[in-house]
Amino acid sequence: MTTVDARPPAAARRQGGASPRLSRLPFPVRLLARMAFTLLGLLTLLFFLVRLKGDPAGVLAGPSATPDQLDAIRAAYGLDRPLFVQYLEFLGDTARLDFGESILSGEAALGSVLGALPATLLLIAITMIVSVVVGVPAGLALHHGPRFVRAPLGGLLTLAQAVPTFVIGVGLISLLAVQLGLLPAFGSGTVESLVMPTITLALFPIARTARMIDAELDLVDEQDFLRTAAAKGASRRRVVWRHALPNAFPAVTAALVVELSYLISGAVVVEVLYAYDGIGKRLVDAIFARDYPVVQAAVFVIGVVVVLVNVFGDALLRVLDPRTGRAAA
Amino acid sequence: MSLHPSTPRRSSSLRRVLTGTTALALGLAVLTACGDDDTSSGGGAAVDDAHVTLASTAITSSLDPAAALSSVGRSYTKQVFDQLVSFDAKGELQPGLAESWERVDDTTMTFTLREGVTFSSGAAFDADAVVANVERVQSGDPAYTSVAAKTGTIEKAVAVSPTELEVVTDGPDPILLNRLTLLDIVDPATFDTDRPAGTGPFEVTDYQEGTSIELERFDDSWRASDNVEAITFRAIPSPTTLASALQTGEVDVAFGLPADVSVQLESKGFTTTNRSAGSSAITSLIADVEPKLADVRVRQAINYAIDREAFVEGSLGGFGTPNGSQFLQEGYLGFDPDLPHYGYDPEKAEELIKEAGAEGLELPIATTALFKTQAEAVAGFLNAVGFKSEVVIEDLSAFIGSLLQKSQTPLLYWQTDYYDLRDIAAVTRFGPPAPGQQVHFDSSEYQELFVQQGQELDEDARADLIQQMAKVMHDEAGVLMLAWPDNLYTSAPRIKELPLTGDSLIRVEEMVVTK
Repeated sequence: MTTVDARPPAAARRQGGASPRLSRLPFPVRLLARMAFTLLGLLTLLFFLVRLKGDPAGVLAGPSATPDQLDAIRAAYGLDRPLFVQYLEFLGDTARLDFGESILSGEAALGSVLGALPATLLLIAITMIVSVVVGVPAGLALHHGPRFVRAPLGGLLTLAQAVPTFVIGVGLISLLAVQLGLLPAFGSGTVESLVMPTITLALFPIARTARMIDAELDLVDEQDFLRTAAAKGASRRRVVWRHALPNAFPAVTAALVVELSYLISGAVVVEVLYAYDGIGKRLVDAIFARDYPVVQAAVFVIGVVVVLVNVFGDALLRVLDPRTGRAAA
Repeated sequence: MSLHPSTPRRSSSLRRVLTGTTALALGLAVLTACGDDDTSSGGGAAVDDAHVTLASTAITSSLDPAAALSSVGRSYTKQVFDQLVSFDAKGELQPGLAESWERVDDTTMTFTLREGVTFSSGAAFDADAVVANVERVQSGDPAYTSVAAKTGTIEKAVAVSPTELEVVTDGPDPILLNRLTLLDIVDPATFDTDRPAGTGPFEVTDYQEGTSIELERFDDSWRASDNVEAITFRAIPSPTTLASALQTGEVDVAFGLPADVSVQLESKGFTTTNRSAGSSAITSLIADVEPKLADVRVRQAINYAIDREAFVEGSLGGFGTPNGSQFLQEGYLGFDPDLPHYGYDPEKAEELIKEAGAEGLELPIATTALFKTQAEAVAGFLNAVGFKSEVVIEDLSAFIGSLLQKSQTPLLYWQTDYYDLRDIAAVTRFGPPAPGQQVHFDSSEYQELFVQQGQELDEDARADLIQQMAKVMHDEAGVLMLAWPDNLYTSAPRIKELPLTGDSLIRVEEMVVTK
């Protein structure tokens, strides 16, 4: 979704006949159409994937049920009808934002998922802020710092990228909760309960941001305008902060937007580990129970969030780097 | 299949990966905590009005007890609702909302109900309430399938007076009382509300779907006590985190911890309460998939191939009893102490395989991620005597389909439960098959006996029938018997007493908690 680089006209033509016509439409309309197509594709894929194997009737009825009872449950939830009929009805319901009720709890599926969304968004927002606030200075230190800082910092960043999330999480719980007793081992809804999930989630994007800043500054360093600025007597600090960094930002921002989408899936692992009541944990619970309505609602909501994040990222990039918008138009 | 506290309802390999419950992670969690050894055992005096937190990898999926028949569901419903009769600590039937009962004829029983009982909603409990509850679970609502299946023999309930109830079954039902232990009585006025009200010692004050339930003492309950004032039920999907939360003191009692973690926690002052899970770990041998399994020699060879002591030690962490004889354990009606066990005799197994011409027979075992270790142990023993076996992991919902209807794999590893009904009648999978259902043990004799025991009202005669069934199953080696697994509860040092019901649920109102 993210147009990190300006898309050449040839690429637009390759997408078929709809694109040239679409491109004549106003930007918001194009955006909506693109969102709708993306979500339709996502939901179609999902609808058939979750039904490939497994059966919610079995989970609901339990192992001591009889085949008759299984059939009765399937009939009650319309699972006995042809798949294509179910699919068409699903599309119709989705268009009305009606995802039905959870097979397991009987609650409205979309309401249940939306109820868990703020907790996940909060976790991701704080993680992003921490990633930038820690990652950008770390990147600068990696690029401009003295050697005795760069070497260990580089090692730490590699470690942060290499160690799997759940190992970091288990280690943090052992240290901060069990050994030191500083933080709760699990939970959600309090400031304390956000600390470990945030650290666990943020380590990877911090390392990535720092590496991106370092790499982008390498490229920018060669540019004439930096030498010009230095020649005109700008201080080293001004050269870095005013001239070099803003030119490194578009690429870093684009990477962060992509990262944000990954964070939503990364949050699934973290939410399950810390029993953090967000949309990821709901999704995992629903997948295991073959609770189709909740799975579909959760993936729909996550899809909308990812699409919106990408739209926002596009807009932000146009502001940060006006060339992006002009080239894409 | 076991959906017991020790084996949470929803689990699978992906979840295990997601939650990082690898041996490495679990070891790390417990070992790093082994540094400080300052667990002062709860030698303090018992306190009143305690607040306890009980946690497992999942909590009930619904506050409505008729839709919450899973084990994690029942650990909650037991605190809030009552039944007409229930199982005491020894598994004997004891009065609940019914003070006494009497059999009138083959299909009718009358109950005298407890007087002066109120629901937490304020309404009075009476016979009409029971009738409404019976009618509700039999309404055909798919959410109640599970409880409807267990109480399916009940034709109707009639309120003779506010304290007199008549229950009529569609045929002679020797275990009607056992079935009634699963029927939680809800105030009918709260059927379709967010907070179904019960007569138990606690009432719900807050519910976060899939995450937590808060209960507070209902002082007017007929079985209220001073011991515990409030309970929190928490879902902590990762066993690693669950173990950590016990150590930080955030959780008082955990169920669903792997056995090895429970053992490690014991060395730190935590208590493991293990109780027979009312379940039998078995492997179905399906001749419909592998015709060679129709040969009794092949089935016997499979039974002789297993070292059950090693199986219990290695894959159940020692929490279980080796079993090579029958489904039921001691204490259940029809248990036969004299029925021989299949011992570990690999030479005999190899001999039988040779006789049957089954050398190198491929016997893959399907199971869910929950039982992966156990199934792998079985596969190992089978390979050692000359079969070719490997484990196929199926998603839980797919596996239930394989189990209930049709399997493509000749062997299925699972646990057949009878803890809820406390009776052989719960082991339905080997009885007469429903139309289209794959047969797991093709014996008309066993199936006929199963039907007979289901209608025999004389207890001694029924015990005899159940013993005959066990003998047929044993002689024909109709299934691979492995062990009777235990249920594990791990509790913090401050929990001095953790009383359990006969169906392995915690009686929180009688817990003794120290400072």
